Amino acid sequence: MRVVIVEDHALLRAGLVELLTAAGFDIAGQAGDAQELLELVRHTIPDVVVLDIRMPPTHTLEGLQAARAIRDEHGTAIGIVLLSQYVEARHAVDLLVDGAAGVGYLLKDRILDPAELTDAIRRVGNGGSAIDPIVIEQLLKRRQTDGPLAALTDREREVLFGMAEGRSNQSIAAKLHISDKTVEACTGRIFTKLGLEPGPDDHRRVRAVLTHLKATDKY
Amino acid sequence: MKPAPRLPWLLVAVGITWAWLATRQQQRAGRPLTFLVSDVVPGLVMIAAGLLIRSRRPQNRCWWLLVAASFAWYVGDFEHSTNDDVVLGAFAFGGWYGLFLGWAVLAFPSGRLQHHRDKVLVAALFALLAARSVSRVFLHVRPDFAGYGVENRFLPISDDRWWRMVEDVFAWGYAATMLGLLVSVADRWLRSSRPGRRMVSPALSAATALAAAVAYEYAIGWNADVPVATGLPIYYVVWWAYAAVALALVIGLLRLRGTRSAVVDLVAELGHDAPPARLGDALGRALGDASLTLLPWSAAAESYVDDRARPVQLPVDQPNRAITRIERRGGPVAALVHDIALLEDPGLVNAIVAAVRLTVDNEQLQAEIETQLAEVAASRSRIVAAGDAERRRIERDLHDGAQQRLVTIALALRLAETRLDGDASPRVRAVLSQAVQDLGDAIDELRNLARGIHPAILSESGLGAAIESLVSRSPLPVRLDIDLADEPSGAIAAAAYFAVSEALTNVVKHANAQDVTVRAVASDGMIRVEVIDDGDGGANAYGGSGLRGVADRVASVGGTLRLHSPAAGGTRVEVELPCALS
Repeated sequence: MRVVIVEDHALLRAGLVELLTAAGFDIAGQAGDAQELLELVRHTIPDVVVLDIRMPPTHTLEGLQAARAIRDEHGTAIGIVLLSQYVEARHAVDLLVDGAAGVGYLLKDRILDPAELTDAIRRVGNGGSAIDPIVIEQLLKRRQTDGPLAALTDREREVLFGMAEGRSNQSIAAKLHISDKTVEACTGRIFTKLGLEPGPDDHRRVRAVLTHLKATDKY
Repeated sequence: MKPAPRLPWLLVAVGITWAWLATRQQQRAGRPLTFLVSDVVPGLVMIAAGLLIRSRRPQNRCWWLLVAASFAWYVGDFEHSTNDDVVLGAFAFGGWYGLFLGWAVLAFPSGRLQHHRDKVLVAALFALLAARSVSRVFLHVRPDFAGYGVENRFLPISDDRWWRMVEDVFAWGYAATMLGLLVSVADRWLRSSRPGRRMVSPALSAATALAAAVAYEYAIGWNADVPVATGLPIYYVVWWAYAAVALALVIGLLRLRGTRSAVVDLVAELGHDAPPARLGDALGRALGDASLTLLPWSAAAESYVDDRARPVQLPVDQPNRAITRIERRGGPVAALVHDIALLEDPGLVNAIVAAVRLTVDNEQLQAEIETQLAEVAASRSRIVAAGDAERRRIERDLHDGAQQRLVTIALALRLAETRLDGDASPRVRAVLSQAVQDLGDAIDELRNLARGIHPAILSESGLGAAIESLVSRSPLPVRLDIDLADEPSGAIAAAAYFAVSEALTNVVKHANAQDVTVRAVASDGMIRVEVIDDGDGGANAYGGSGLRGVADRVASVGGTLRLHSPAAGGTRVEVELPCALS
């Protein structure tokens, strides 16, 4: 899988390159800021771009704008994994407004768990999605007392959490140490309880779940 | 200066006794009742008028002139005494009331003789009366019972020519002086403009009455051979004319008082926010002097300025115009250009000066305070803004500096771990793994610290998103109601955010609440943020909580923070802010 890495901190970028190379990724290119990124992507056509949200010159949301530009130019053909020093549900929802296919939004600290990181990049590279658990936690936390989520069992809520992260049934099963069958049964019940259309694609599930969470934002 | 309270009653008692004694003399002479009344009443009118003036205007000298006139009034009555010495005294010193009345008329309304000619007139009256009194004591030849002149009581003079000559000179001189008095007052009246005339006209009436009385008295004369039957009614008229002098003065002073209280009312009416031009117009109206101009002093221009703030020269040497400079602590406040007649009543001028000083002064102080307040408010806003900028800088440094570096180090350790490739002992691996985990915790803590200092989402996505983020991190379930069509920016958003943050922290720490609502609604250019809980209540805004700092921050952008926290339970923190900085 071909990856472009954009990170303004040179040492960290080198670390990422080493980590991903070791994990079997092909590093198609690297950049230190968003300026040269579009040209680089046009030139290399990678499967995934891993980029920091905060970059020079203003250190605010340059990465997010660059991601939109790539999406506009290449559609979902190029997956984008945004890394950030902090994550906000609002940014995730903004990011996923046009679809969750090939989108990742992760806390930068996740690179300290190389297995999780490479799994997420692979998911995104394959057109799936990877949403940081903190975002899902934020979205779920406020709906535990009432609303349709209150009808879910603890197990179902755990599965929903995994779905929202963008995990496949297998991934959820592995994470929760349960069987694929149990996960499948759970997802069916969750979709029924929340009144959602069941879908085969993992990324569409993510979007459905997130949209549902966002839609019930107001009481 | 407060008048001695017992003095008037003493004067009334003495005056009435004096009048009663005098009337007894006339009674003994067998005068009819009309005579007695016409004789006693004018004196009583004078003392009453004097005391009335004293009670209203204690500083005004006219009061004792009228009281003195009253006592002098009755002196002549003692000519009917049985005691020769008393008779002589009454004969010599009768008629001095003319001096006191004339003096009072000339000194009206201020109580002081303003013009040189008036001082001359009073001196002339004194000289004439003194000369007559001396002449009556030392030159008068007493007639004996047969009507023939004998000899003066003190000097061996048997010829009454000298005495008669003095009496004639006195009669003409006295009448002439009174005429001069009338002319002087009339001249003052003619030279005055409307407000001035209003003040001088009582004196003019009094002077006319006085001059007429004196003219009658001396044209007909005590000494002329007018039969008592026709003569007495004429004297009654003359005496009532003297009473009219006193009355005219007291009425005039009371009217002046009306003008002064108009000035006082004016000040009260103007209140605190009278621009000098309006004050000048209002003063002109109150005093009936349309030409009155108030020129405030401008410290910037170092000059008096007109109502359009243009520097002007004071009009010096204009006929009938006077300039009154109003100062405060040695510095000029304003100049008043007005009719010179106003100076006739220094009390009135003082009242006006006080009124103008008060109003202009007040206005200047208010302007100064407003400027200072604006400066303080601006500097407070700048301090808060600088603090915010600093917070943002620190937050950025933490995220992009320290946090980034920690992630890099952790990643290096992780890579080192993978490079070991099974070479190292499990203990080394455990140490490395633990180090990475600790670094992860440190990064987490650093992230929370940075968010507390300044949440990046506030500048990235605005107040609504920042409050959402805040609420989603709260351990309590919180109802959220956000309707921010007008997203505030910068300092205002920060004030609202930190208010919600602090209030939510307090709810979690202290309130034991089950139900918490956060509301942020923007409408009509105002943002209203509320944090409501159903917890214990009894919260104190300034009891060591961070709410005090939040209130200061809210005030720095022109907003207000209110805390409702009854002991019965429930707490509501309400913050109102303008959507944009003014």
